[in-house]
Amino acid sequence: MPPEPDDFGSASDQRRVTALMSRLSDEDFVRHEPPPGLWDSLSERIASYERSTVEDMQPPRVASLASRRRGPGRSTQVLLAAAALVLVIATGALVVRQLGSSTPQSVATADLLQLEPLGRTSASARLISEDGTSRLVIDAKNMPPAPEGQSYELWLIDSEVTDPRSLGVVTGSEQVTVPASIDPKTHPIVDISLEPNDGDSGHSGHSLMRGTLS
Amino acid sequence: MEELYREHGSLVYSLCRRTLGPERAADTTQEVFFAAWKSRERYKPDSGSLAGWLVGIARFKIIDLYRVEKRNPLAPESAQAVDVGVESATVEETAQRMMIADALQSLPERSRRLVEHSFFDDLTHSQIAERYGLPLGTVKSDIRRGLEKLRRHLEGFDHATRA
Repeated sequence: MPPEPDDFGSASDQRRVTALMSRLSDEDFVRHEPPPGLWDSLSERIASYERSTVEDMQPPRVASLASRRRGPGRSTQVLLAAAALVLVIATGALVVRQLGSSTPQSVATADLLQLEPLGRTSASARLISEDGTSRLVIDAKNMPPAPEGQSYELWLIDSEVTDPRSLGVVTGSEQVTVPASIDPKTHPIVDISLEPNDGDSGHSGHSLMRGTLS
Repeated sequence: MEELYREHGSLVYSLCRRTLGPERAADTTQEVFFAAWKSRERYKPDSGSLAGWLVGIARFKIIDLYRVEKRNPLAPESAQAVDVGVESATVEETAQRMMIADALQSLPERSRRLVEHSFFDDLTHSQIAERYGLPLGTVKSDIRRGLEKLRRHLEGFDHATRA
């Protein structure tokens, strides 16, 4: 028998609680304690976020990567890509000329953890330093082709996860040059995302794998 | 924030664990509390309980995760076969039931028994008072306070937004 009418603020509240109460099961009362360390991890994340906010002396630039999906349109993107290609070729030529004088050194690595269940797909990253330039080497296993109309994109992101910098589209194992404008020390998070081919150069917010260079 | 986590972490984690499995429960729990912290100014005590508000945020995080997996070509086939609409409804329902269970568990033993009697047994308040040998006013006020707690949980749940 449902409670007497004056027990509730409204009849709809009463019907709702009555329905929920009638479907309660023992499992609804089962509680699990969060794993130890979860609070420490959370409080550190909050502290880090607060620090970045204070340093910027302005509101956080983004709350989530999804909100960064604003950027140049397709034509601008093509121009930027062309400019980047010219820069890469020029830089590559310079590097080729200077090769032979230095040994590549692995300065940091990261295992990329799945942010979603990805089956047997796995990936790791190595940061290679050589002659003052950095390369990011991605070793990916069991990575299927991206679905039609979408691409995988490689990013370096700062520790506060507010400033993703694209290293371009990837299809699996790749080596990419890290532009001098991106410092892996301030952007140590390696991220592989799924991006719709919609002309938007911002991060989609749909990260598949992520790890921190150390 | 720590007090909030200590008090309600188990409820949020248990909901995440039940709907997402143990592997993703911890990360999602952290996302829920981080989102709650960032949007803490949106919480109004007049608009329901904190527990309800947190569970409301958790519900959105879990449903969003289902949707992401549905779009994800790398997800296991089982995740891609999920009917997000059905799963979302299940999450909504489960979250609210666990929240009601939480409210009941937090009531003093006597209040909890009286509330349960008022729902599950064919007894009026007067009959409950007679059965327990309590004054009718005590039974009525106990039940009213208990149901008020349930109602505030639901209000908090309804006022939660996608943080």
